[in-house]
Amino acid sequence: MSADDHTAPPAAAFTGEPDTDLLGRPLRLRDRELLHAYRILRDLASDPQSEPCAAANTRAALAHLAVAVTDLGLAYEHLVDLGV
Amino acid sequence: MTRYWNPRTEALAREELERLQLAKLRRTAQWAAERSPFYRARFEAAGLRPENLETLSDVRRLPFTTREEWQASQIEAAPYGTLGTIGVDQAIRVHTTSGTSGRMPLRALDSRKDWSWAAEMWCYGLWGAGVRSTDTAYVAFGYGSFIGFWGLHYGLEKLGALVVPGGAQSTENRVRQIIDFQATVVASTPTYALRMAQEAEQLGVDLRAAPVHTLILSGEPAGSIPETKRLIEEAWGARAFDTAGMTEISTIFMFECAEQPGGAHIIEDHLLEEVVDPATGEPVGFGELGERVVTSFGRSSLPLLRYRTADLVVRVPGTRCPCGRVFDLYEGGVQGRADDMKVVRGTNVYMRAVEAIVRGTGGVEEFQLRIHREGIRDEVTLRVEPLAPYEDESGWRDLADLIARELAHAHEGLRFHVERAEPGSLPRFELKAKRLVDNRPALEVAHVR
Repeated sequence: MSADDHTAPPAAAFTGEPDTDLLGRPLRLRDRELLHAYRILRDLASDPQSEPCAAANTRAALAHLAVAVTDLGLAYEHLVDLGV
Repeated sequence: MTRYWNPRTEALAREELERLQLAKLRRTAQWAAERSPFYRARFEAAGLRPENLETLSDVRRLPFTTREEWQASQIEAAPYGTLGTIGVDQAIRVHTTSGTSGRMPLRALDSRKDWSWAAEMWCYGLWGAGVRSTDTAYVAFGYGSFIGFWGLHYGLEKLGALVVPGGAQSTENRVRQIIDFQATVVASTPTYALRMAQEAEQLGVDLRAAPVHTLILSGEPAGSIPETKRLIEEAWGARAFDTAGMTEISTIFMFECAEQPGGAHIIEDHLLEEVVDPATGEPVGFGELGERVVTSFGRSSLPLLRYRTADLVVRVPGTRCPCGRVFDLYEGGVQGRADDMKVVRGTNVYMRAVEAIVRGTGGVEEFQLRIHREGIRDEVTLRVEPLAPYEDESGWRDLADLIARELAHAHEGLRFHVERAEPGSLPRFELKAKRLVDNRPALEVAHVR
């Protein structure tokens, strides 16, 4: 199954997400899913109420996912203010 | 399975790659101007606003950043200086330069993402060399504060290989562990790869019969010196891949792909590399020797802009390699160091060229180059520990004559005295080899800059 054949999540899941990558190319479904996961982790990492175990592991996961979306040219952000 | 770690960018069209670089350059410059005290002052002094960077060549409107400035900022605002954007509370690790140059080591903090990025750059190189999750990789490295192979270790973990950390071991133990763990990949400096091969021979261990198929070399230019590389590959019965990195960017900037076209690919989707005339700072063209200047997009904690590296390189188009990567190549890897070139009686002497000749004879176990003053005249002496077949007087004489003749031929007739050293008397190195000893009065030693 190719990424584009993948069953699409509800459109509402991607509300507010960009439609293009850093080069202005349309995002594929898998790109949108990656970006969506990235935004969720970013939001979670900014929650001061998270338990220490959740906060630290969220930041660790966000660090890796941030590298992936940067590699793919989907996003390019600095996250040091989130402890990442 | 794809041959690229990141097919999305490694196979981009050149024009698209440059658009990606420009997008990252603008954001990196903006970040640096906002958050780095050093660069904020730098932008203000240059009267430049990051949003006014309209083309990649506009990067040249920024002044260079030098090691000396970094060092000065560490003294002014100890211990980490003013280049960075974060404090210790936002960092998860700190590394230093090797200190082999004798200068104050540079200290660099990394955030979580920065460190993941450092490992990621190693993944480009490891994957390109054919390392996969099924490999067992032995890292022959001391694991100290020097950044060395730390990033490689994490890169190996990231791609799923089994990593054997070979720190705090004697060379004998490392050789035995490589065999015991059935390592298929070994990472070390080129010098130390040779050292381990010599140790294995003394132990009666046949490395060529071991499962090691790939050597990842870094830390010295020797990984791209064909004569040295051939010796290493013959001793191990494995393919050797050159990489080069620096603490200042936390990771590697180039790697040799499986095609091994005689050069190493620059990781251009994460770095903007310029090659300039060391004396004038003006750009040089493809095929011309010049000094690397790097702008790194990967490190939020240390957004390095136009950093003068002192690495001497020759850039050629990526199309020279059949692998299909858009990334340009540094032909022959890092050719030397601008600050390592010595002038002896008007002749330029590069350690890389000396090593190529010495290793090319196939008769040398270890060597050291000494430059010294005799009266008013500079002299250069090569001290050599010959391999066993050249230890008798006749064999040694032939070897010494050959080395002296070839060195003179490559250096405008400059005479190199070739002296025999006792077995085991010359220094051995685990990290960066330091085989050049310049004993001339410091103020009279000529440097490129």
